[in-house]
Amino acid sequence: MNARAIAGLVVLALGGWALAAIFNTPDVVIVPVQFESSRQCAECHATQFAEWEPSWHAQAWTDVEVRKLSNDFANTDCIDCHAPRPVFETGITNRVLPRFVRQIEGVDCIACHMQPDGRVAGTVDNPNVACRPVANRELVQPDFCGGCHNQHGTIDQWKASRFAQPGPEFKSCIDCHMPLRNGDPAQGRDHTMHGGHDLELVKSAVTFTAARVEGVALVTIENVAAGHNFPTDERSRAADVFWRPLGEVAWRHLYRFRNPYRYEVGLPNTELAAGAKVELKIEDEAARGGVEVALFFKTTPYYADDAHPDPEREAALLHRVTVP
Amino acid sequence: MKRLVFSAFLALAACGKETADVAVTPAPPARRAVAAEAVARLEQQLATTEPTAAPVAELGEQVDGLLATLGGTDESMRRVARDELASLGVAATPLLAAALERTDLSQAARLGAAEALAKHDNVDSARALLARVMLARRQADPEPWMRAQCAWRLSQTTQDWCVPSLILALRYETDYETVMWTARTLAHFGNFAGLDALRVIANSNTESAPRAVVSSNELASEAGFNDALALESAWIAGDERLQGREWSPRRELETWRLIAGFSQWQLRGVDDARFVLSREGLHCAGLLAQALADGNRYVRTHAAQCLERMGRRARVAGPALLAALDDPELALQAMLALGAVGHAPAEAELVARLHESHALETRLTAARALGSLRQATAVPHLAPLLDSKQPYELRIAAACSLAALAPLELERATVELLIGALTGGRVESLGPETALGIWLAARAERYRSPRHIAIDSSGRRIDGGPLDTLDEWRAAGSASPGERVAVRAALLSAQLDALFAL
Repeated sequence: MNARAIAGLVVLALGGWALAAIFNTPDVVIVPVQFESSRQCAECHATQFAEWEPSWHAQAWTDVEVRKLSNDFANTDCIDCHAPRPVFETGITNRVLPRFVRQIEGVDCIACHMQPDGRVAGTVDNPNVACRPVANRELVQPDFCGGCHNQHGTIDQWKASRFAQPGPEFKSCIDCHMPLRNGDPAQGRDHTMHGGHDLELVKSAVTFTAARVEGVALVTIENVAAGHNFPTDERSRAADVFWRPLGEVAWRHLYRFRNPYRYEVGLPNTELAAGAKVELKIEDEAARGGVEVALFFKTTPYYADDAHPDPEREAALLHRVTVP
Repeated sequence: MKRLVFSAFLALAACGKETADVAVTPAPPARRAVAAEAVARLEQQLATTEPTAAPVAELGEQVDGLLATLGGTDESMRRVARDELASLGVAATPLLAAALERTDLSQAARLGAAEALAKHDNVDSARALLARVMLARRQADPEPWMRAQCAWRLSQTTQDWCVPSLILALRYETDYETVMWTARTLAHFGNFAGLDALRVIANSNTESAPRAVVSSNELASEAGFNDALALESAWIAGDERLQGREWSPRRELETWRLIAGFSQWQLRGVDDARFVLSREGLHCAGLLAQALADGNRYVRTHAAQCLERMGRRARVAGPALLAALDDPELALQAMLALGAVGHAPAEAELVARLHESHALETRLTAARALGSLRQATAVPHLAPLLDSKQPYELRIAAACSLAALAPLELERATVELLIGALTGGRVESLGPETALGIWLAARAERYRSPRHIAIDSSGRRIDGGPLDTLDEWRAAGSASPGERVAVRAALLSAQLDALFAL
């Protein structure tokens, strides 16, 4: 080989090296965020955080009623669901387990979005930002919510409903409880976690009608819109049908929809299944004349005086109709 | 030439980006289904050792006749009838079990049936008595006296396998009479979980209160203790004198069934199992320690939880819990349990996990566990965690543990940190509240004179001193939770100068 050929090869080699140096840019080194608090998410996700912060997920640890029922979490059994480990850690179809850090943040961003690999489950893949989100469709599956919310069969109730069937009526948990902001997929989902404390949502779950049939006032309640029983999940929730003769003040109790506590052995489960309907007759003599019938909702099951309940003061009105 | 070009390409390729070695993570060791295997082994063992007899048709008339005699007024005939019922053997058990529920029979007849079942003293007869005790869990029961009777009768048997169910009965039973007899029967089998319930009844403003006091003191006396408080303290501490008798294989089976049940989805069963097992004694702690090696994460986790709840009574599980620190799914719960059971050799491992190379949750859990462990040698390792550069939650956990280990050495800045945590809303307030209560009690005790008034170093009485502050702190305990915390925070803030001036 002559000198010219050798020189050419050397130039070729140098040129190749130069090209590699120019185009082989080093990876941008992303220092993943070590999440110690969900408050760190607020820096970039202010909207979602602002929606979540007053939600009942955020208050799962601090809510006064929860603290009372759990005796300030002296009943440590309650911690499993009220301060759960990341759902992706325990597994989608598995029961949640308790965590020991930032318990005060309740069911927080980290509990739902943190993956075991340290990345954050979301709707896009982006390894080049601090939380390194990865698109994970499991977030939208009802079984994701089931780790906590299927203890009383809410997800099983959904699976048995028409909303779980593929087709135009299909709706999963997040379609009602985390709707798209302004109906726009580009705007993401509302993190307010609408549920049993959202009276408009609760109200919309059932239709409440009344008519006089053969002289008897007949009340019909139908679970038309909830993808699960009405009410569901927490056994503390109750929906009561009351009535009173027109012009009277005191309400008279007619029926209760509720799943009783495990120790209330004498009481049946009267939750109204998705798609089911109940018809109640008011056969009292006082109901021969005009009556007013109403559906009230409570998040705690007991009235101050069971003999003389005062639903207008102690419960929230959902529906009211008059039967002449 | 071609060789030169090829070499050049190889050289270029060699200048390319390095690729990291693919780390090969070794697979975790295969785990056995410890709980399920124990259940299977014991079920097989018991299936081959305990025969049952089929009921004989003619016995029905005989039993009915004897029960009717029990309902009569002739005491000598009733005595004969009782003896005959007891002598009928296992074949009569189903008939006697049915008699417990027969409302056509007199109360005396039904009580006689219960007595006979106790005298039969076999698995089926005890099962019938136990089913009656547990009836209120399944349906409304208008005859609590029958539950109480059956609870008492079980103490006249050797069927110790009833213990787990009797402990569970305490969780749901509302009739005080039944609770008291259940507690006595548990004590008969060497379990003193009922003392807690007796104390609740004794402190109630009901007609059962005096009998609960008597019952507690009788149990204490029978166990060789001065009073109920001494007995309860000894039970909680896992006193060797209260180890009870050796367990029957059937009792072990019932316990392993509960442990295996930790894997179930429905929390009701898991909660019940946790309630029962955390109120068992030393032998159960040994079984739970074995369960820490189970293949199911939930079995391991809940077993460790039960050991934590048992506290010092479960100290025999210390070595197994220490080994569990190598299980990433169990380490955190194992740390808490190590602290609670008081396994002193764990201190070094817990201290090591305070290091900042560990995740915050690990450091936090280790700090809490060191507080429960009650080894003062941990103080120098916890103190640096108070530094303001440390994560806030970790600082609070360290402060709480330091209050438990060395309350009189707490500096003012640490006390102020804890007071801030009461109402700051950044961490759970119960830990700081408990820690401040310990600190305040320690200070009050330090300055308590023999006449139970606070005095300063020159012997002068201090008004508004730590004793008074402690009294106010305790008085605030009856307020609603939010109000209680706010009152206590305000009280200490106002008294801090005085408390540190002593």
